[in-house]
Order: sequence, then structure tokens, then C-alpha cells
Amino acid sequence: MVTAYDYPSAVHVDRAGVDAVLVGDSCAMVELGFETTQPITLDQMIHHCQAVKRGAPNRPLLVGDMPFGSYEFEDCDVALRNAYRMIKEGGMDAVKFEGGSESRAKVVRHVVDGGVAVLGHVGLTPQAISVLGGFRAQGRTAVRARALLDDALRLQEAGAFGIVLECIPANVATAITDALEIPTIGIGAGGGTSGQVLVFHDLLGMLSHPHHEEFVPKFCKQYARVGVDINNGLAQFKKEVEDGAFPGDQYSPYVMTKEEKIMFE
Amino acid sequence: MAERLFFSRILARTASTRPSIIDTPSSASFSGACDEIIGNTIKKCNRLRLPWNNRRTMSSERTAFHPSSPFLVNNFNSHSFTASVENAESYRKFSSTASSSNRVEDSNCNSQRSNECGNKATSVYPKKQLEISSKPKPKKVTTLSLASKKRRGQKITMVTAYDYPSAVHVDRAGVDTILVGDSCAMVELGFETTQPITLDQMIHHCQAVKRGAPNRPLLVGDMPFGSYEFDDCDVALRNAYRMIKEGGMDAVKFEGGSESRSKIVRHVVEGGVAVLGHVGLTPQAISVLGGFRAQGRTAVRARALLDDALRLQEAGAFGIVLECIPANVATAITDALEIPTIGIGAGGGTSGQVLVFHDLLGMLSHPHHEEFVPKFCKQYARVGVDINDGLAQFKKEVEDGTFPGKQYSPYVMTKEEAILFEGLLKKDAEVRRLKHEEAATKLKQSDEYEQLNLYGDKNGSR
Repeated sequence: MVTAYDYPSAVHVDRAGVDAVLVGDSCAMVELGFETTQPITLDQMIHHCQAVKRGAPNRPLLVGDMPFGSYEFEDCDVALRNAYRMIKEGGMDAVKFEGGSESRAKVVRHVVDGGVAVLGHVGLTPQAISVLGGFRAQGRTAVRARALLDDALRLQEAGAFGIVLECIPANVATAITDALEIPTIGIGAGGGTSGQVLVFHDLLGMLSHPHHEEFVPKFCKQYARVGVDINNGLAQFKKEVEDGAFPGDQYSPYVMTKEEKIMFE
Repeated sequence: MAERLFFSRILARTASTRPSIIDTPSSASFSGACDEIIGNTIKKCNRLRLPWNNRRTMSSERTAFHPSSPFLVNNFNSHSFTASVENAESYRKFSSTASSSNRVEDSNCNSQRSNECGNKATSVYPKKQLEISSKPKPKKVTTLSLASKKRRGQKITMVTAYDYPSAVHVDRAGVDTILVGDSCAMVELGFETTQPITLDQMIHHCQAVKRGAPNRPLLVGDMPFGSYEFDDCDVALRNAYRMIKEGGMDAVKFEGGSESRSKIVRHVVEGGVAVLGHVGLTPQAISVLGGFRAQGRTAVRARALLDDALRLQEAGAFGIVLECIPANVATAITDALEIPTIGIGAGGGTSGQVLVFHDLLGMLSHPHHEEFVPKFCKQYARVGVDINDGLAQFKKEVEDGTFPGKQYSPYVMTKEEAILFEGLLKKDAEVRRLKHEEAATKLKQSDEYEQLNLYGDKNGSR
């Protein structure tokens, strides 16, 4: 599973043969430049989901992340209505909710009963960053790890079709994966999960630069350093424009016929 | 007044050399100037509290500017910040060497801040900060600096961007202007034309770009199809205001140069919003034009384009984008205007060039799929190929089990906790195993039913 937030990245993820595309609320951080995933609204998420749908309309499973504040309420109908919007307007196939508490499991059950597939998410849940006190790995103590397992079981019970495990120790992730029937997809959770997910911009080094340092999470392998190519390409464009080398004759394709030229003069 | 001169002299310093004229500040002017620096830097802090920027580091940045916290925030996005802090730091350092003894005992210097100002100024700053303060503050590109570039014969560069990372890249590459074009609809959102995008969506993308390039490049926001072409010029003005206020742009772009369009341009310019014009191939009018076709190929049409450009200049536009016209026409228009022209597919005679980010970097290039790139666009990279290779490699490594491996599984439990965890697992292992078997049999049974697909595919994809 790889994240995508717009048409070209969705096209690429689709062409690469990846199974599922997650339109994550990490969009707020990597695509829109916020510090956390909290500020993005449901309308903005749906806007990005629509772009992704246009890029990968047929093959991959499309999962839309429900943003902070769109589903956590006691009134489960709010979550259901917003999930419907994500499916109908956003063109997604499933939605993702963060968290596995009792109340969250109730919401998941309600949404699944309403006919929308739900992907769960336990471990580091970035929307709860204030509560967690920062982007910190979760489940490092036995008690917390057991609680994560209980959360995952609860979500499975409630009808989720899979669980994302984020930033937990590998043995915990393996234990959870073995205890569940539904698949688990890990990020920063070791190799024992049923699958892996990474953020598009992180795995491709989108913001890498020859002179500026780039923050990449330590669980993320960089499979390319696209940012360096982008920077070099842009610098070359700037140089060629200022030299006068671009466009040149090769890239100035539109001409007038000689007669018209004379008339124009 | 004396304080202002003193203050501006200090801010003009980029190197940490001592100024030749040292006004030994009286106590009142020192604390006043100190307060002014603090006030100005905090004002600049507050400038970032605008709607498009929701950065959580704001509070930490504010404390960083307080004289009691002399460390610099090394934030590449806030050049002007670091510059003003650097200047404030070098000011304090300078002022401490100039008049430390006077100030420390100064009874009038009663504000807490200026006291700390004085005390901290004598602390030893690491050498690195002095070197940083010698870096020149990047100057904001304005409509005037573009005009002077034309006069000096320097070419202007403009690249489109639609989100935070591309804006960061275009800013870092030193490009003069960023256009948040409605080409967003085609390259970023996947539509067939530029028509479907709405003003709200454009503003959303402008906000992301603003976060990526908040300081140096000139930011131009493209007004989308249907947001400005009306007889009632106030509609255009209101939407232009939204683009500036909510979107964080510095200027807006309108397509077309007819009489009615130039009336709108005049109205918006008088309302205080800088306008970039656009003649030639205007993609929003694609239905009228009958497709993406080069314009101005006949003498009559070319003359009409020149008239459009002159009309827009008259109406107050600060520049004109020339799209897909013959090179001689573009050169003639550029020579006839005072304001700069920025060309795309218009030859080398314009004052500057613009290209679409995704086209010039080959974002959609792929080893096996062909990619449509306009013939006037040179590909300076084939980023799409790297993206595809990277993704394919990721998929392969996950399916092999190579990724994540030990190197990319950094979170561990301590041994004691792991043992405790095993214990907690054992408690209900039996119950869970039974449930698991129950569920497994149920699944198998339902699978048998579902083998017969509704649409006749007997062998299910499992």
C-alpha cells in the first residue's frame, strides 16, 4: 500500500502495480505543508480523493482517511454521513478510522453496518498527537502492547477488513497479526505484518535536496531521491532561460508563413 | 527619529562588522530601539499567523525571538525571520561592546526585556551564528523587480507549482515567480481541461504553495474559469480579494485581452490587486478556440494580439503571459510593451519563460507508457521514471520480505517488557484460538458459496 494525494502520484502508484492506494491525512503534512495532520478538513480530503480517483480509477483498492474531527463523536451518524461523502463524492472504496477504543469500535460497527468498508488503525495515531505528546512509538510496554492487541481485536469484531499498525515494536505487530484473521498493514512495525505501507513523498525522497537536509522517518527506506532530480532540473531550466539557451529554435514550434509575416510587419 | 536611523542602519548590516558611526545610545533610545526590534520581529512572527499557515512551531518561534532565548531557529522557510533575528543578535552584540557599562547600571532601562537584552548580549555566541548573519537576506521578488529585470535585459523565470513540496523546490531553485496555474486541473487533478476547477479549490492549492514558498518568489494565482469574466466587475474584484487574502498570493492572473476584460483588469488593479495578463492561447476558452491550438498565426490575428496586450498594459497589468504564438509575434509584442512578457511556447524573444512543473520535470514519464509533453516544453528531468522504479522496487521488496528488515524496524521492546507481554498474551490464548478456528471455518464455508461469482466467473480470484 502506498499513499497518494493527487492525479500524477495515483497514476504512478497504479502503474507500479501496488495493491492499495491510501489517500492519507498525511496529505496535510507532505502535500499541504502543515505541521500535523490535524488541520485538513473533510472537504479538502474529498478534493484530493477525487484527484486520486481520476488517476487510479480501476485496479487498486482506494482507501480514504477520515480526517481529524469527522468521525469521533458519540453520535455515530456523523461518522456514517461523512463516510458516505467520502465514498460517493470522493470515489473511494473504503475509509480509515484511527483508534480502537470501545467508542471507536462502536462507530466502526455502525459504519460497516451502513455498508462502508472500514480499515482500522492502531498504534501511533497521528490525529491524537496532542494526547500522545508527539510522534512517539507506541506499545513499548507489555501493558500498552496488550491494550493494542485488544484494540485490534475489538476492531476486527466490529467489522473492519484490515488494521494499519503504526510505529509499534516488531514483536507486538507480529503478535497482533497472528491473533487476527484480517490482514494487518504495518508502517514502522517490522516485517511481521501482512503488508507494508509508506508515504509516497518519504519513500521517493520528494523533498531531498543537495544542500538542505530532509526529515525522513527512520522506518522509511528511500527508494529514490526524486527531490534532487527536481532541484537539478529546475536549476537547469533557470540557467537556460537566463542564458537565452531555452527555448531556442527546437522549442519554438509555432511559426507564421512568410506572407503573413510581411503583412504583420 | 534618531532611533529609527540607528535601527535601520543596524538592520542594513549583513556582516558582523562594527558600524563606523556609533551613536552611543542614551538609555531611553536604547530600550526604545530594543523594543522596536522586538516589536518588529514579533510583527513578522504574527505575519505568519495568517490563514494559510497553521504551523505549530509558531509558539516556539516566538520564544526564539525573545531576547532571553538567544538561540536561532534554523527554519529555512522563514528567511526574513532569521535575518531579523541575526540582525537583532548582531545589534545586541555590537551594542554590548559599545556601551555595556552604561546600560547595565542604567536606571531608566527598567523594562525586563531590555535588561535581558543587555545581559545576554555579553554571552558568547557560537561562531556559527556569526557566519549565518553574514548571509544576505533573500529579497522578495515584486512586480517592480520584474519590470527592472526587463529593463536590464535579464530574463525572468517562472514555474508553476500546486502544492507544498513543489513550491519548496521551485523556491529553493531560485526561480523568480511561482504561478499557481489553473493547469492544476489538468496535471494535478487529472481533468481533461482547465475548466472544471473552482475558486475554492484554487485557493486551497494556493495556500499549500504559500506554505512552501512564503517569502521570496512572487506568487501569482490563476483565476479559474468562471470567476471573473462577468459584466459586473465587482465579482472579479471580490474573487481576486479572496485569492490574495485567503490564498496568500501576491497577484492574480486573468486570461484574455478584450475590451471587457481590460475593464475588469482596470477595476481590479484600482482595487489594489496586481494583475498579470495572458494573451495568445487562453486554455479556459478552449471550446471557443476549438482545441489547444497555437494562436496569432495570421497577420490580422497577430495584430489583434498586440492590441490586446497594449490594452492590458493600459489597464494596469504588470506583465503579460504569451502562450503558444509564433516567435516573431511574441518578440514584436515584447518590444512594443514596457511591462515584461513571459512566454510559453512563444520563442525566445519574451522577457521571461514559464513552464509547467510536471511537464518540465517529466513527472508522468514512464518506461512503458508514453507521456504527452507539449512540443515547446523541454524535459529537464524524467522524474516519473525514478518514481516508477522506486515504487516497483518497494513492491518487490515488500513481497520478498526484504523490506522492512532490521534496519527499518527501529522500535523495540525491552527484554523484560517482551517477557511480560508474552505472559499477557498467554492469558486468553486458548479463547482466542478457539474463536479463530470458528471464524476460519465460517470463512471457508462462506468462501464455498462465494466461489460462484454473480457474473459467471466460476473460479474466484482467490
